[in-house]
Amino acid sequence: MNPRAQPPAYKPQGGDQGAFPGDRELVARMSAGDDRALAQFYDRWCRPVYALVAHLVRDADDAEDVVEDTFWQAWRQASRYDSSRGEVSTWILTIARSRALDRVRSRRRLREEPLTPVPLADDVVIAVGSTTDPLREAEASERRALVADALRSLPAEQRQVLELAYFGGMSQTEIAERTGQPLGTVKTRTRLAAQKLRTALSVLRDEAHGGRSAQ
Amino acid sequence: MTPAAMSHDEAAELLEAAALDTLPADEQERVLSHAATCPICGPELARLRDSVALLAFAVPPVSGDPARLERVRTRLLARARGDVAVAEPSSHAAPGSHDDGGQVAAPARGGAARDSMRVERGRQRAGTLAVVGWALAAAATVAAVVVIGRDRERFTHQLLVERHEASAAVDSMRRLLDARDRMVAQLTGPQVAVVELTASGARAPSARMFWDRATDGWTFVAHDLPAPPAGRTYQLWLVTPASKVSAGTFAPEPNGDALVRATYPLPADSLRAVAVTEEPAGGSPQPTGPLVIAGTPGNRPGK
Repeated sequence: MNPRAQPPAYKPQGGDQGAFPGDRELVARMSAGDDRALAQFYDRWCRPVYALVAHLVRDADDAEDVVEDTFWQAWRQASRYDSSRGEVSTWILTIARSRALDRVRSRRRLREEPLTPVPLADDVVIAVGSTTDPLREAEASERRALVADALRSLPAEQRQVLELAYFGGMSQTEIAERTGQPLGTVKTRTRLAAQKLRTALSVLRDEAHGGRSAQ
Repeated sequence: MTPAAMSHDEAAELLEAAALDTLPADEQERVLSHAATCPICGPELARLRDSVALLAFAVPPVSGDPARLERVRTRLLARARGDVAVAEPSSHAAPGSHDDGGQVAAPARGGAARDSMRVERGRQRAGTLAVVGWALAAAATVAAVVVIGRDRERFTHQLLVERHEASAAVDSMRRLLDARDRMVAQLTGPQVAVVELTASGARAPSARMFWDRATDGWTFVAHDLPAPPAGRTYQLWLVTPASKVSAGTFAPEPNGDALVRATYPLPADSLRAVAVTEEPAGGSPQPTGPLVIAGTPGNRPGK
């Protein structure tokens, strides 16, 4: 029987777990074709995904497309999620980043804009604001602060490598060309930066492992 | 062709780069391939990936237009429901599909009355079997119609999904073309003024600012800009008699090209200069760093 054919009826199990199913549970239900799980998963992750995508593509219409592509891919590939390779947060944000960078590269091929995101002064098309839930906003703010602190704690040259790789989607060779540094230096900085980040963000990583929600 | 296997030591050296996806594709594949079976590298790569993914939370909070998120939600769930419908199996649509309805036993042959009775019984039996056969044939036909109906339904769903995807692709392309049209208009329209920016040096960068007075649109295009030093960024300024207005921070591409677009209303005669300075990462409220390139409207009068 096709596993997508008969979505299992979702019945809250009682307690927090039933009312607020974990990410892994939602993904498992998505892989069984439960579109209500997709709705919950979207509601939980759409804002962080949108924020990341909007930051990378710098265009509200493109961001809208990419966010839809991201969750559509998550829906179609939910059965391929492998928890041994990372948390659900890693999985969905990696899909989002990848789709967004694809869009930026596609526009770059049309010579529309540089790869590096360009913040604009007065025609910023993305409205900046906050979620309507103060608790979620406080948690998101705390998480943002922790990640920002972790980034700030890195030496500037290591932070630069990390940002060019993650937000710019650059390879180590491209980073070396961009910064004028030898490739070996870029490799060393990449290693050190990622190791320090792993240590500095272990608290957040553990929280994600414990199944806390995105927002 | 399968890439050559990577040793543990080699892979362990590259886990961080693999987590950031900064390796060449073949090397990335070899690292992932090793990590998939290595009890040390696999979990370590997962931890690194989880840490790297958290960088996504460093971006400024953006709620966007709530209508956009709601629109995406509606489209997504409609597609997902169509997807479930498309994937619905037809397991009960072909019950056996045995085509035995028309296979009726031949009447018994014989010359006696008994035989006649047997023949009659045989005829009756044959008639009964024929009825049963026709009933089974009819049932099979109905089943076939049901199968065809279900197939048509699935096909219709498939078409709807594909039409939606095609429509989304067309919409996306249309928006892209509209954006390009707007950009071309802001570079070539009758109300566009062009300011040439110049700099000194052996490999001096060059730049132009296109000011579309009709839409208050500003398009800055530069070439041969070196990468700013670590922790620094370039910042674009519109200089008026009253103030210096930031038009945004930016970094050039590896080849030195840069493009910045902004919208800012400015009286036609108030622009004194356009300048780029080097500033601390994140930009400054007012220029503080060295001047990189600058130009005045007089360099090239507007059309």
